[in-house]
Amino acid sequence: MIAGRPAFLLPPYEDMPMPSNPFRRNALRAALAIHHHLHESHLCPRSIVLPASAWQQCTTLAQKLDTALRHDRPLAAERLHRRLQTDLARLRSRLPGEAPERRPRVASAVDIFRDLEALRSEFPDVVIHRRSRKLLVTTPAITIQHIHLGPFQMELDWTELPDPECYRVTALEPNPAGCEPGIHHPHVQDDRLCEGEARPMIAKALAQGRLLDFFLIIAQTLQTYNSGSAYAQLSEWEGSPCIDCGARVGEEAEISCADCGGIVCSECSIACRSCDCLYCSSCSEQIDSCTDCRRETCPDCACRCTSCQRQVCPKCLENQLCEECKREAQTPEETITTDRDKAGTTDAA
Amino acid sequence: MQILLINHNGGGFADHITIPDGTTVTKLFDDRVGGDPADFLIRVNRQPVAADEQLREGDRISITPVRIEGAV
Repeated sequence: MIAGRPAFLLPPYEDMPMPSNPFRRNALRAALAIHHHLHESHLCPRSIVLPASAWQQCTTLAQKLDTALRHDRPLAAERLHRRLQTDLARLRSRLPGEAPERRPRVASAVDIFRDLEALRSEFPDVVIHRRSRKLLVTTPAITIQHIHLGPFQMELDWTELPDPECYRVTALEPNPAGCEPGIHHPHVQDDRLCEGEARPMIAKALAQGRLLDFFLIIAQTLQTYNSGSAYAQLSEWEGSPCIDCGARVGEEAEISCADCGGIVCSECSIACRSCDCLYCSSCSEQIDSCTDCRRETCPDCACRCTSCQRQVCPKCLENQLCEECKREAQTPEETITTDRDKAGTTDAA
Repeated sequence: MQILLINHNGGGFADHITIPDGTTVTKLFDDRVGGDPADFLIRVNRQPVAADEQLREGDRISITPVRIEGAV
């Protein structure tokens, strides 16, 4: 509704026939609403929008980094430090600059309507949610360097136009990076695309209401891999990092620590020689060596000699005694028996 | 004749330009952008077209690179 009348009854649209196709009808109403919003937003002076959410993200990461350093977890600290650097760069890029001198030319409602129609021939799924004022456009499944990333949904909130942060990008069939489980695309973090080269194109397309161009630009950016500046490298996508050394561990070679469940590589894992359970270096601190044979024994397998209370492995325990106590228990009887035998023999003689 | 050219190669501008009658899509691309057309999504009035398609008055041409590098 605009000035109390449905928008499609206002000039120059009053003669435009209402489409019979539901999508087209929805697209026409959405186009009118989007055009009205853009037109109004460019007429009124815009308030300065500070990147509060980006700032909060950096604050949270800095706190996590501090915690990781205090608890002496260098691998975690390194990952957090990288993420913080990335988010700080993004924060700096989101700081508002000077206001543009010229008002951009806004696409007409007819152009916006034609853009919405054309989206259906470019993308497999296009949904117009008039109630929530959102456009949901799904890309085809994306595969880059044999890594299947799946389709992504691009969600545009048209009430936020032309703010460059008016959209989100979400993985519909997530295949997260093994090295960074929260990353579903090399250039997407927390549903935010790191635009790089696309930034000025996106800003202009949004400012002018060229929605087809906007979605095509996003889609092409998602299809492109920039190894020099990615949240996670595709070369490290598959498999998980060893929690001890950080090396990539393929799915077939994954070892799960029997205590904490963390993924550890074969070189870093430490085994209990009695039950063959495998542990990471942190959890292996509870593994002791058998005092007799020196083999690693976990607390579940360790036994105690009932005589000296020393901890031994099951193989070194016999009749509840360790080797040494067993020997001590046997030796005095043998000595006495021998002496008696000798005495008997002498007497006989 | 006048057409609307939206060139996303190098920042993205949208402007009306005047071109000679009979200009084809390929000629316009070579004059204004250059390079290999296969590296771009070229749409006339929001539709893919043949390279030798002749442009008409009021056409809307958009040229978008296929490779757009995101970056942190």
